[in-house]
Amino acid sequence: MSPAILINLLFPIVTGLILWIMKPAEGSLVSYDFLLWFGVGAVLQILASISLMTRNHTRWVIGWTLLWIASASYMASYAPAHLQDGLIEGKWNEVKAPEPQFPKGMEVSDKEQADLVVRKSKWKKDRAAADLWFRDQYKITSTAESYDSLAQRDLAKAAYLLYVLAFAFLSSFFSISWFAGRGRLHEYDVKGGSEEDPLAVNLMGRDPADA
Amino acid sequence: MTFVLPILGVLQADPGADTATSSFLEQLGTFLSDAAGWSWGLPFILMLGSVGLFYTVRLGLPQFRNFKHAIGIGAGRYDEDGDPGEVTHFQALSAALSATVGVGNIAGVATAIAMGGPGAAIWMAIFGFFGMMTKFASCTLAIRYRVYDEGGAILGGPMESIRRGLGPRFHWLAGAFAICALIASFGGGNMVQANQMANAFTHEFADSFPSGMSEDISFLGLDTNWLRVTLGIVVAAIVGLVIIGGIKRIGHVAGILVPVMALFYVGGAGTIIALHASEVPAMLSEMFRLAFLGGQEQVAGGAVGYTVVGALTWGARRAVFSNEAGLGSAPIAHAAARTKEPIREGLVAMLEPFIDTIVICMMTALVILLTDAHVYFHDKEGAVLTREAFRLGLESAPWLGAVVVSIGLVLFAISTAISWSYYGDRCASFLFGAWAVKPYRAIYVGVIFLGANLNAKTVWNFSDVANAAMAFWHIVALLALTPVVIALYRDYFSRPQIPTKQLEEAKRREGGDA
Repeated sequence: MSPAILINLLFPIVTGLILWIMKPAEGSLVSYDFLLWFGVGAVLQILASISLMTRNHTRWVIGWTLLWIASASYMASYAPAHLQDGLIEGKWNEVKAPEPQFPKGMEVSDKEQADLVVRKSKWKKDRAAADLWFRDQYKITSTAESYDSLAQRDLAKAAYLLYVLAFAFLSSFFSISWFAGRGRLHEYDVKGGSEEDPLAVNLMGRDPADA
Repeated sequence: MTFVLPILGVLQADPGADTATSSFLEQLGTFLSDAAGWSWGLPFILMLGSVGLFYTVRLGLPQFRNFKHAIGIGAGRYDEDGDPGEVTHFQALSAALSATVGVGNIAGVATAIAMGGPGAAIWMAIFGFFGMMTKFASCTLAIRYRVYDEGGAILGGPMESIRRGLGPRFHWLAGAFAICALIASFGGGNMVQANQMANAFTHEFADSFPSGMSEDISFLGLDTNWLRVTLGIVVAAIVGLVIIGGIKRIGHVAGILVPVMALFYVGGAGTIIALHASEVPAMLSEMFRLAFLGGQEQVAGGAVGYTVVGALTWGARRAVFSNEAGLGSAPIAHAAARTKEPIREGLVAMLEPFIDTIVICMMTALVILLTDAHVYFHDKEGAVLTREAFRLGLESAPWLGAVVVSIGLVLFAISTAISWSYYGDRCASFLFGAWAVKPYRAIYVGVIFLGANLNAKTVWNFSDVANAAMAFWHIVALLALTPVVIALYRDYFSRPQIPTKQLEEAKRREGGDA
C-alpha cells in the first residue's frame, strides 16, 4: 500500500474522529449542516483509496473519479460552516466596531463632516441590531456584554471546524494531482497520458512553420 | 443585446432599491458574495499556499538561492538574439507585472486590512513569498509546453501545459481552465480595474468638473453619471488602441508604463513611510503578533483561531488577487518570452510576487497602518481607505496624497486591463482558433466601459469567483507536473550559466586564439 493510499484511507477517519470529539455544534450557534456532505466526502475518499489499491486502468478511473466527487463533497460541507462563521463574525464585528471619528487635528470640509454624521448614524443602527441579535440567539435579557464569552467561544469553534474541513478537502484534492502524475499513470497502465520526455527539445526551438 | 442589457441592469443596480426586482438583485448580490467567500475560504487558500510551500521545500528555497540570477535574467544579461519567442524577458516580466500591479495593490490591501485586521498584511507577504514558487513553476511549464497557433502567434500557459504535459486524457482539464480564464479576464483584469478607477476618480475629482457631470443619469440601461460614462469610453479607447497591436505592443507599452507607475506610487508611499520611520519596527512587530496570535482581547476569550483565520483568509485572498500566483494567468504572458530555457523565464516570473506583494503591497499596508487610517476610517475599505491614508500621511499637502492614489489607480488600472486582454485572447485562440481573437478583443473593450459603470461589490465578487475557478484547474496540473519542473530545474543548474556578454567574449577569444 502506497503512502498516498494510506493518507486517503486515514484522513477521513482521523478528521471524522476529531469532529466527533470536538462536537462543534453542541450548545453553540454553529450548526451541524456541514455533517451530511462531510460524511459523503469521507465515505467516497475511503472507497477511492480501496479502488486504487489494485493497479489497473479501470480501478484508476473509478478511484480518480471518486476523489473528485469526494473533494466536491468536502467543499459542499465547507459552505454551511463558512456561512455560519461569516454570520457570527459579521455580527461580532458590528458589536466591536469603534465609533467613526476624524483624526485629531485634521482639517475637514463640510461635505466630510456631513459624511461623518451619516457614518455615525449607520454605526449606531448596525451595532444596536447586532447587539439584539446576540441577545436573541443566546436568550439573554440582562446586560449587553454578557454574551461576550459565549460569542467568542462559538467563533473559536467555527474557526476550528473550518480548519478540519479544509484539511479534509486538501487530502483528497492533492490526491487528485498525485494520481494524475506521469509516474502513477504508468503504474496503473492508464492510456492517454503524456509520453513526452520533460527534457526533450522544445517545439519552440524550431521554425514556427515546422511547429 | 436582448439578453445582455437586462443582465447588465441587474448587475449594476443598487440592491437597496425598493422594487420587485430588488429582492432578486439582493439575492444575486448575496449569492455572489457567499460564493466568493466560500470559494476563497480556507480550503482554497491552504491549497494555493501549500503548492508554493511544496515547491519551496522540494527545490530548496530558490527564492533566496536564485534571486540574484533571476535579476540578471530579467535585466537581459542572458538574452540571446537567436532564441525563439516574441518579447524579451524584461518585456514579458513588465507585461505580467502590469497585469499584477493593479487595483489590488491599492484597494486590495486596504480591503484585507479592513476585513482581516493588520495581521492580514503579514499573511499577504507570506503568500507572496510562497507565491513566488507557484509562479516559478507555472511559468517554467508555460515555456516548456508552448506552441504556435494557426496565426503564427505563440500560444502557451496552463491550457497548453495541461494539454501537452498531462496528455490527451486530460484535454477536458485544459478546456475547463481556458473557459474559466476567458470568463475571469472580464472580471479582475477588466471590470474591477475600470470600476475602482472610476470610483476613485469620481470621488476625488467630481468637484473639479461641471456639476452636471456627476449627476445621476440612465445610459444604455445603466444607472450612472456622465463622468463615469466619459471615463469608461476614454479608458476603453486607450486599452483598445494598445491591445490591437498584440503582445509585442503590450510588452512595449508595459515596459514603459510599469516602471513609471511603480516609481510614482512607491515614491509617494516611501515618503510617508520615511516620515514615520521610527514607528516602523514597532508596527511590524504588532502586525506579526496579530497575524499569528490574534488580538489580545480574543486571546483572553480563546478565539485566537478565529482572528487568525480572518487575517489569514483576507490576507491570502487579496494577496492572490494582487500577485495572481496560482491563478495561471501570468504564464500566458511569460510563454511569449524569447528564450529556449524554461527555467530562466520561471525565475524571472518569480520576481513578480516579490515586487507586487512583498514590496508594493507591504508599502501600502504600512502607509495605512502607520497613519491609523484603518482606525479613523474603519468603516471604509478599498481605494477610498488607501486614499485617506495617503492624505493623513502627507499632512502638509493632503491633496498630494489623494492625487498620488488617484493617478496611481488610473495608471495601474489601464496597464492591468491591457495585459489581461492578452490572457483572454490566448484562451479564446486555444478554445476557438485564431479567428476568435479579434471578436474577443472587441467584447473586452466593451466590457471595460461597463465595468466603469457597474456596482462595485458585484464586480469584485464576480472577479473573486472567476479567479478561484481558473486557479482550481491550474493547481491540479501544477502538482501533477511537479516531476517535469524538478527535472528542468536540475538540468538547468547542472550546466554552467554564463551571461551572454561573457560567453561572446569567450568565443571571440577562442576565435582569436585559433
